[in-house]
Amino acid sequence: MNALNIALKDLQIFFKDRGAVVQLFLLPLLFIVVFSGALAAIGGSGEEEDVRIPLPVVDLDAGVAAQTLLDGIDAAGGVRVESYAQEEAQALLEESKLARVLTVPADFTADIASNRPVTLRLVNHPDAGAEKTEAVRLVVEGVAQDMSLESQILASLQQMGEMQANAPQQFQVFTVERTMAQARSQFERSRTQPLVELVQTVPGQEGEREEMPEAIQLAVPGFTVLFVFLTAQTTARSVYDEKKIGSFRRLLAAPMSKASLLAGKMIPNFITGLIQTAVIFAFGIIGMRLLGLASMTLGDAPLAVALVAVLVALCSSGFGILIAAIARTENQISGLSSLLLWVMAILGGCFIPLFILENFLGPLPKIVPHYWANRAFNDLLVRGLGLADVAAEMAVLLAFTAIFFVIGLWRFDFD
Amino acid sequence: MNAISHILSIAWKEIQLIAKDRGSLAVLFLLPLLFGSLYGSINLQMAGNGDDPTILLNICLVNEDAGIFGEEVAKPLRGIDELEIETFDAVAEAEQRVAKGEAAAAIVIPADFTQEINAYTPTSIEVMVDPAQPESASIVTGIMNQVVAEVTIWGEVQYGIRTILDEPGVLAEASAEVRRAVEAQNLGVIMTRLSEMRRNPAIVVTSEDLEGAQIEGGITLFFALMFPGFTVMFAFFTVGMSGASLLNEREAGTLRRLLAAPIPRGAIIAGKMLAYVMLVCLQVVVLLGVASVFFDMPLGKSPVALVLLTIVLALVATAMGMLVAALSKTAKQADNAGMVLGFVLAGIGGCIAMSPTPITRTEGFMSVLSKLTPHAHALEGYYSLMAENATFAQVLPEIGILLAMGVVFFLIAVWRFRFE
Repeated sequence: MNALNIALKDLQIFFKDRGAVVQLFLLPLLFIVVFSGALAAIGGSGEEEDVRIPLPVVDLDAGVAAQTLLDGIDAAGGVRVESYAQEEAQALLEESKLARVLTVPADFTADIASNRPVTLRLVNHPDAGAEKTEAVRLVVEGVAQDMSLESQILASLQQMGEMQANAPQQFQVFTVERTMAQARSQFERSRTQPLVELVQTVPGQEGEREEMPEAIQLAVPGFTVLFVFLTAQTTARSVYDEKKIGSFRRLLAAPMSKASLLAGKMIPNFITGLIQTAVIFAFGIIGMRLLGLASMTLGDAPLAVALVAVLVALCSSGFGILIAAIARTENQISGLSSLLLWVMAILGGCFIPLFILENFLGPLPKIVPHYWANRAFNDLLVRGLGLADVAAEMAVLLAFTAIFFVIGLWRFDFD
Repeated sequence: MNAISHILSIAWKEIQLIAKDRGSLAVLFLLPLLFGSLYGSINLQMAGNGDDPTILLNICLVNEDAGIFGEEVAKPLRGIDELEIETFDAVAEAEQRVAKGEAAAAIVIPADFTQEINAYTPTSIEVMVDPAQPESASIVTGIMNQVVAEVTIWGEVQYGIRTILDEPGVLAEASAEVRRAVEAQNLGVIMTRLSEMRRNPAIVVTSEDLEGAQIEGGITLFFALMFPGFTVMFAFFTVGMSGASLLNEREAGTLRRLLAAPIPRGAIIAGKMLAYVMLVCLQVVVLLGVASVFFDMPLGKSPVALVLLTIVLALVATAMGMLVAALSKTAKQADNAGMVLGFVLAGIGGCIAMSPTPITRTEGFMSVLSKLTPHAHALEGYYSLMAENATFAQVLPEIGILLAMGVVFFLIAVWRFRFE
């Protein structure tokens, strides 16, 4: 009972501190909206708008091959072909009214037909975005490569036919016209029906093409873990404040055990962590939808998600006691421990997807509880796994909690 | 002269206070350094520019096809440095590995792959990807597209030759052996020529700027957005700190003592601001310095503009701190308001680079919204200077807007602040 009384008192004190409430509840929601990239969705409201990069083109050739090339570029996606006359394009480019101009040389069609190498020039204004330029170049190059290959195949067939023309009649197995017609019909066909197709699937979904998860499915759990652990700081601060004003000594003088005193300090942290998780997840699921942004789902095992959330809140409480036991000054509690908590969050994959971190840092992220919490949430929310699959992660979280609590208890200075 | 010495002595006092606040200094310097170098190194590695070879992905390969085309897909995969290929016999086993996130993707070549290609029937290869690793998925798909393109060309050529040889009259009286020989010979000749041709494409695409110089692209340009992003974001984290420090002084009563001293009020505020302006400038120097030395981030061609932009950025951040102090009742409130503002404005201003160019250059609502934040203008200025070698005159509008914002913040602060 004593522990609960202290917990209740601390919760009341905590929720009176509006700054702390803002930090622990409002900030994560802002984080989600601002940093999950969801805001970008607002910008793209005009659905019918052509968002492709405009590519002004000067077609000096005006032949069949040039038209095929430009149609190919326009159809490739990402780039919209706009026709200009040469002088006009040059003038607009120099006045910075155009970002770039692609020039198809005169005789393009004739050169392709006779297999002479040609060069397409993409001229960019110095202020043009380098990334857009690169994107445009890749599209143009892709289409040009396909055309190159086709024209080269045809040219080499022609060449072979000419070589064969000198051979005796009985060795001439096929005519040039026939082979070229065959090649052309196959080019046509391969455009609409590729011989080998790549089908991307996600495990668990039978053969169906599954959309990759929205960024928010990774972002919400990550920020939840970050902020639930930041709550640990509040516990440490509450212990520090009580020690400073002397009420901690009074509590000690009261007829109750040290354990229940510590438990009473931990419970508010635990409850706050649970409320945080609930608020942040609810916002990710409902709030984001109300805002018209991409929202998240709870995966296939909501119960397991809840269980992991409980363990994360517990682990954060343990960490709170640890900070309270080790940090000696106000500076250490507010400055250094927040640095520590943020570093742990970065290491533990609250900002950067775990697989990238692991690829980069090796086993290092495993030393922070955040890693295991994020891994469990990832498995449940993104990979659609169940409770049994995250048993190991949950066990590690429990172990972290135990270690934090034991060290905290051992080092805790009651006087 | 006197005023200046007052300002300097107040600033010196403030600097000493700041230097003692190690926790805040860690947040202002270490955290962005950590974020920046981690994101920077990861980006370098993903772009394949690092000292180490590029990112390594675990891939499960299930080749159910016993024929030549299946092997033709599997063989090149084993030669790719980025992929660590593990072979499985059963699809279920490979799927399990991907489902658990132990492998980035599983590639399944169906049993009748060679047969289907020989029969010229469209077929498919399944690439099963881990939904938690979208970046890996796109790398694997990109590699597979190239590998499959090779096989497709081979299959097409083979079919073409066969169709022609099958025509009545062509090799009609030849034995099956002879036909196979002719087919194989033609295929060999054509494939050899094809690989030669693809090394020398008929159509070359060049990309150049107006003067004809080749355009440089790549990761260092992205760094000219990413590092200033972190820098600007953390520069504005001083807002809460400077605001709170002014109010702390009022709460502790030391502001009253300062007022009682023969120092003009303006000098007190100016001194405080000077200290924080210097703090922000130091932040920028450290962060951009590290980025330039360790990540080859370009610094552009106009150091004067860079310095001026930095000073103006520091002025805006500090003026915003004074504004927050003027509008807050307690130091704690100022601290919290500063933090929330820091995150929100950084997000809106595009400090966390999610697009390859500054948010001000995108189209739509966000771009308009971002232009209301000083962050976006500072970023736009840094990016133009460092990535695009803009001249002083070209970033003058950004510097002007920032300065105007700073003046507005400061005037409101002066109007609303209560010294008592």
